[in-house]
Amino acid sequence: MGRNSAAKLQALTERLAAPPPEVRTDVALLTVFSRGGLLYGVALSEVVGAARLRDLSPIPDALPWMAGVVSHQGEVITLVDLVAFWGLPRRGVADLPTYLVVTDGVRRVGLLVEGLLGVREMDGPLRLYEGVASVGVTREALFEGAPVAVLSVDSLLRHAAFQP
Amino acid sequence: MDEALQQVMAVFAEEFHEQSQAITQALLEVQRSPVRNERKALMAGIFRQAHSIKGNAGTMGLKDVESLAHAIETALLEFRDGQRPPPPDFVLALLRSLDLAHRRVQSQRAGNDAEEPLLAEAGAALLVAGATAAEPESASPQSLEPTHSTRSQPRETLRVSLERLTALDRKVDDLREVRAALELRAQELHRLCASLANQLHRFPNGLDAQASRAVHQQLDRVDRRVAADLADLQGHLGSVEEELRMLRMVPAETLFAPLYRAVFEQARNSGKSARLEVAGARVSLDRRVLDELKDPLLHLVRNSVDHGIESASERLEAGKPPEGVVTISVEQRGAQVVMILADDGRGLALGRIRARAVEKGLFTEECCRDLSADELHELLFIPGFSTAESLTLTSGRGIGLDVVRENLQRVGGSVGVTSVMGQGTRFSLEVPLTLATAQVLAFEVGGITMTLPLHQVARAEHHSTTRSLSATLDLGGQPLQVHSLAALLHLPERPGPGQNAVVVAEGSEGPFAFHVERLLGEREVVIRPNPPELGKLRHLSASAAMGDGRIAFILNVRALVERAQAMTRLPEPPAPAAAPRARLCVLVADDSVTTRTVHRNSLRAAGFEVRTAADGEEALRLLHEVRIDLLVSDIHMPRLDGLGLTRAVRQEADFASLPVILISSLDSDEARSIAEEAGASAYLPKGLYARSALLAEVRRLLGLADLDEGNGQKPVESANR
Repeated sequence: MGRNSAAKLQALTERLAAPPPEVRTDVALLTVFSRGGLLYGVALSEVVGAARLRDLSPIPDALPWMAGVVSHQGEVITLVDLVAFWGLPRRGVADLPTYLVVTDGVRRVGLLVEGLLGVREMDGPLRLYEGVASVGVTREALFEGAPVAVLSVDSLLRHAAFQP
Repeated sequence: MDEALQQVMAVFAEEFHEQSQAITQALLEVQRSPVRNERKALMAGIFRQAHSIKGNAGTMGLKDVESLAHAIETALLEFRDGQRPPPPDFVLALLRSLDLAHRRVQSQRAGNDAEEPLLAEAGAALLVAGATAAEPESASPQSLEPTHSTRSQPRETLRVSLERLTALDRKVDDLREVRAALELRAQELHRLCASLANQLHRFPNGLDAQASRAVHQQLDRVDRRVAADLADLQGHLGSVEEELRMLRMVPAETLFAPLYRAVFEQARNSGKSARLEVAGARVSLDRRVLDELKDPLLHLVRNSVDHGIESASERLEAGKPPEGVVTISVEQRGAQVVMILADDGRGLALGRIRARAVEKGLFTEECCRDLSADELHELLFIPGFSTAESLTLTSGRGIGLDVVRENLQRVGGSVGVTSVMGQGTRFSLEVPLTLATAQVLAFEVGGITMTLPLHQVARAEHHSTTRSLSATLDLGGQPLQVHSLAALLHLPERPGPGQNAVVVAEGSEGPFAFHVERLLGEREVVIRPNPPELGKLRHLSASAAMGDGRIAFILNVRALVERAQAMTRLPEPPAPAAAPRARLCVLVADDSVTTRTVHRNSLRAAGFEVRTAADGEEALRLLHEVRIDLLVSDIHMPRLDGLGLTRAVRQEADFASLPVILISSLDSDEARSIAEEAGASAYLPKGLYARSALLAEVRRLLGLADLDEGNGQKPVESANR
């Protein structure tokens, strides 16, 4: 191997070994909520609204993550229990007083949340998510030092489970 | 694209759609019109529309569409005087160029401003076709007067987007819910007032007589005023609902432009002569109902021309005019609209339907002989059932009539067919006039409120005693099995004394009875579509807003019938004299009732005992309850799919050596290796898969390969796991 080739290989190795570059986006403000003891964030453009959970109507013979449906501004919305969807340890619906309505621009679903922290500015830029693979979670951020998994509604609703 | 431009683009796209529809309809009318002046007037209309498209497209910067419109104008010059109609092939080319332009406009609307290269080619082809159009045919077409006209009186109109109308709809839905909630509160108030008045009457010592009377009067006044205000609100809201309903109503004729074209194209493609005639086009229906009718009608008219109408020579031989006629008549009957689509073709061949049913393994030849014409016609609605001898681009693939029925059932409609050999076929489609509200029967099962449209309820009654699952009901002297709705929907059964009730639904499959826990009575509900992610839950056809904030699902009777069929264990046919004593048992898991029936029949015919399951979970349960020697499973199933089922089976020591055959529509090495990794013993792709291949694989895996066919017997020592 010539010196030139060795130098190129060395440079390539160093580049590959370097930490992945931070992916900067314009979204530093997220709607933050907690679920199953973790924090999640959704881009403001993907949030339609939030409401107190009052009349949750069960869906007969549905998948476990379909917690029920509600009438939200005249539209029937499926409430998704993300914890059940991802197969994480469950907590009862009784302590889920709120739901967040999110959209991919075409469809809307509701997400059951434990606590809605509101719109919060992240500590820094969003990074590519490197945690355990979870459908819909594409990026991560820090909020007051705590990790926030950033949900992409578009990615979530593209999953086969949400297809008609 | 900024918001303002997007709005303009949307208007342009909508206008373009209307203009191209008008051109299509006028071109087809020109073809049929025997009167020169009428043709001339129609051609003038076409020129106006083409000219407007050219101007609009130029304004919007769609140069390729502008050029095409210009080419249409130029190519049609030859026919502008109405002397003769443009030849059919030229019309076909023009219609296809409009399709391309439509695609281009939609693409631009979606933000893609790349030009469509085929448009330039289409324009050039049109110019050549126009210039070289054949001389007029010697005989003018034998035709009737146009069935309807595109000309209409100018009216002052305002274009409102469907989205805005839908948003308004939802607001009114919300108001209906508020009204229903107020009704409940008013009833509570009324009861409270009555109770307080009663208390005052019983214990007058608490207040002096005058004060008591005054309180009594005040309560009465408040009660009456609330009732009067509520009546006022109901009156006003009723008017708004009616106005909104009228805004949503669209004449049925808007459906027919693509149908004229479909008949025209299909006839050209199949070398036949056919025309479409329409009556009752001015009957108006809910826009959402019309949307659901579009595809079914298109499929039916194509089918009529492709399979129903004979060739001109066949028709002449049969003493019919050479041109076949497809007619659509629309009639309003109360709150329903009935559409009859009929052709004067050859009619449905019962012999071919019987042969197909036997070939697909649905019935034995003997059973088929006993089926009535109506029962045989009903088979046409089974998924995958087709009698077409050759496949064409648009029909004969057996994917049609079941989808037609499914679409109509989604809006609470139905479809039936009758036919007379040699005289034609007649489809009858019945749909509700509007979807806004519906009368339903509400009931409770497993603590969940569900509903059925009232027109589907044949009977509903309470029973004082608890009935067991699969009890029967006397329906006009005929025993009818009563199913447990809780069991069908995998809900906990919790009947209480005096709370058991039976509902008999009247579906296209005949009466279907099921137990519910409690009847809640008739309700007027607002119908709303289910969210798309619930589309896989076929047992739920739509949602009903109950007026108190809750949503109750409207059940799909057909899906329930299929579930019941899957869960009902049919008695085994008597074993033939030569049948072996120890028959091997094959478990077939598939969510399609047709596929299950086909597998069951072919395996039984080969001498195996067969059990069936509608999904992986049910299959897993059966494996624990019944001795099973081999499992055949579809991969794609609800609740637990075939791969999950195979993995679960392999995790249990008892089933470690159970042969498992997985079947899927995917035919790839990757799918095969995934199946093998899950633990499948064999993998059969559906596309290439045939019954003989399945039987061969079953025999191979059970060590019966060397034994005679029709013998599902295995040496006793190896049959007992």
